[in-house]
Amino acid sequence: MTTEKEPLTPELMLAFYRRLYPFKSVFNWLNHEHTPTKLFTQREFAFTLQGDVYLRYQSFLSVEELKKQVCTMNPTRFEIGPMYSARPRDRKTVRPGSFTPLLRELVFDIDMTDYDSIRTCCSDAAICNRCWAFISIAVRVLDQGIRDQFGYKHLLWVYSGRRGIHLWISDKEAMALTDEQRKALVGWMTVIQGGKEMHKKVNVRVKSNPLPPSINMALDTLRERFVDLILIDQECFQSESGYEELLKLIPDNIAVSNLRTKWRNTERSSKQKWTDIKKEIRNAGGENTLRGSLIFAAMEDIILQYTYPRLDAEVSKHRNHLLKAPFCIHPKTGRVCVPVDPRTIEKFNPENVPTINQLLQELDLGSQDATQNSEHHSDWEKTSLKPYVELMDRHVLALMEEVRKSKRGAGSSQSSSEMKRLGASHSRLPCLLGEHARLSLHATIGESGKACEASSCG
Amino acid sequence: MYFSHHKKCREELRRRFVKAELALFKIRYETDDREERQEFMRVHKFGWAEADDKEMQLHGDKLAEASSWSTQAANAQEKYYKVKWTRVPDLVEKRRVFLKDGMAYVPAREQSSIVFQEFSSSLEKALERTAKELPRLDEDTRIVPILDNLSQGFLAGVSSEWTSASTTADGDEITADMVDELARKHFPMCMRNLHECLRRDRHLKHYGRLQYGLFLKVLGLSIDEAVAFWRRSFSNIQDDKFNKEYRYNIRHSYGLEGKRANYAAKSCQQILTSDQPGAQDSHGCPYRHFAPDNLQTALLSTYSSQGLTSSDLPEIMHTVKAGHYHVACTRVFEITHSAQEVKKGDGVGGGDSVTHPNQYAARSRELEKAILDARKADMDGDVPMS
Repeated sequence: MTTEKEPLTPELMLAFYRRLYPFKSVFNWLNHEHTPTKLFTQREFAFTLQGDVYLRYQSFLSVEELKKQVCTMNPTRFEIGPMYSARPRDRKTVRPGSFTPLLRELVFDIDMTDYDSIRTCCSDAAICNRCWAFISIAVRVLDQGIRDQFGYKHLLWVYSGRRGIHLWISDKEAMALTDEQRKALVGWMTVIQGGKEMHKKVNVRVKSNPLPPSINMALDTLRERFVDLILIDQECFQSESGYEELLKLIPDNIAVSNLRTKWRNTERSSKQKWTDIKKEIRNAGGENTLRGSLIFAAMEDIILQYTYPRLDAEVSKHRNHLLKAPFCIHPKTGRVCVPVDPRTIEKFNPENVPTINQLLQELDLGSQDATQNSEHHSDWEKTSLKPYVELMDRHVLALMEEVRKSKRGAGSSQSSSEMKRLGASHSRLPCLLGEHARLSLHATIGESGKACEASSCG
Repeated sequence: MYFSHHKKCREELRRRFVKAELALFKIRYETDDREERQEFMRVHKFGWAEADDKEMQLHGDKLAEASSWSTQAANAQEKYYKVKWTRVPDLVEKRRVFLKDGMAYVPAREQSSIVFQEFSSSLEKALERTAKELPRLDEDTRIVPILDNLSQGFLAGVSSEWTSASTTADGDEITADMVDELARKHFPMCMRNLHECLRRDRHLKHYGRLQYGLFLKVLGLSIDEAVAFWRRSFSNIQDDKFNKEYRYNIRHSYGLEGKRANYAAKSCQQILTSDQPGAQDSHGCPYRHFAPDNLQTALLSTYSSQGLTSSDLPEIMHTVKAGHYHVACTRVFEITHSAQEVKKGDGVGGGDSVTHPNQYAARSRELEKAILDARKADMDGDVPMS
């Protein structure tokens, strides 16, 4: 894994926020319109400051105010939460119980660590171009499934800066989903289940019936990628522990003992082993016999278990979950969390994502020959950040266009009725559930947090 | 503080109320005959469109697949209703409908599910509206006492969960040093597993910490002892990281941070149904979330010193297979406490089966204490040999 050689100093971060961070694009994306709406002014931002102080419930009236505050506080990163029923920074002045999250992008988080038990090339925080293939498959399947089954159109994929990817869905209906509906949607998309001690993690069939159509559709995509990634590239079944895991998933003692004998004595590639299983179906009398059909179904389930997207469900289930804003800098790698085009996800290489140092250097080079202008409005245009901001802007344009059309169609009162419709459903342990890692810093906020708030007022 | 507690209670009450009302409604709906049902549907106009022929042709095969994979063979003549998926979240969550472009195609036989969903969501909304009005009712001195009284009766009637939560089994506090021994003698399989994982990996993932930490809290581990316990257990982690990432959460679970809620330990029901363990997780219920062979190995290695043998396994695995995880757990309790004269059918006292890990541990400690007390009484009664 390549990491930034130079440390990320506060000076670098500040220069990045001042000159490069595309505040306007991010504002438009969150706000859906050009003039600030509640979607922006009642939106929670949370800052992680230098020294790991964590500040929640920040909110801003305009994009200028956001930029000013970011430059004042100079956070190592910041996160975006839901639109609440009141401005988060005024939450203590509203009646208790009436400060509730109302609207929020539907978000997904896919992290490479969930694939640690499968991938053979890296582990833990490491990610290479080879294991990125797991993520690209997940993107393909999820993107296709959500568009086809739920009909959502405004999907923004954002590289998380190290080993994962986030998805933000901004369709009007998606924004308004209750926690219960989010949970249902996650349930629909979830295929991999079961803890460490459960071998078989795919149990989506009822008895031995065929797979439900939505999963069958995913399987069509996965089948082909399974061969390239799992069998050829990762060689998941080459080692003894690798093929023993595989054998645990085959519900046929005769076939398993045949295969084990065969594999123990000779060196066979994962691809050959996969063919050997197919032969066992033939030995059992073909797919139409009971034994053959069970092995066949098991093979489908194995493809799913090794390649179907592994979702971090908690992130998606609750409206008040915070997620890192696009274009932040990942503190460990120095890479920008850039938007990614799902149509070319296979070509995306995380190692080629611009880092903060690289961008600032590009900027220095660019400004040497240009005339020294004091205002750097869109300095990102001079750097390799440009295509990513443009990708974001195209996404936002489509979103804004639709919002404008629906407003023209239905008059402007509808957004408020939409809000009334929303109940105040509560998640029982929001603090413990979703935000454990972040909240853990809350304890240290105390004095320094207040100091920061005070300094920003001045 | 008082108010938020009050509010929390009311939320819990509301949930229970909706659940009970829904159960009653289901019974009434199911005992109605067809005509009554049709009349009911006509009067209420739920606004479902029947899927038309064109759509039926377009999605025909998939509709059949979608509905046949979950239940009996599809009926070609069956009608489908087309509704926004957001109106049938429970069917979506279980993949019991066909979904296309945000519309759910609900087979007629699942129609009752839509009705039930509609019933509970409109009831919830009405209750929420009432809840918002309630502060104003506080001014009226007559109605609030009546409501409070009613709600208490309601809770008393429904609750069968183990509730002696915050009290420790014998009034003693336990310390971090005692956990190893207590685990060995008194913990149910889920907590034994978390304890072993913690000792082996010197770490537990978030939900594991939550499940185990709250259990230990209720068992009687004070906040200071809890911090000491986790600090020592995470022996690979530097102080700095521990203080930053874990101390807050431990204090939070004791109600000392954030919104200062006093969280109860998770019941079996919660462990079984919420926060399903992911691929790298160790929490959950072993009877439910372990592969059968791993469960058998784990049971033997965990409890053989307390008298569980491989001849007990078939019976336990049989109940596991039938989905009666609490029965399996209760049986393990009986077997491992046979030395304290617990017999089959005794359960965790009075024939009760396990509904809460703390109930399991508390009962186990009670039995031990009873024997110790008896022994002590014997000793005291003995005439010293001269």
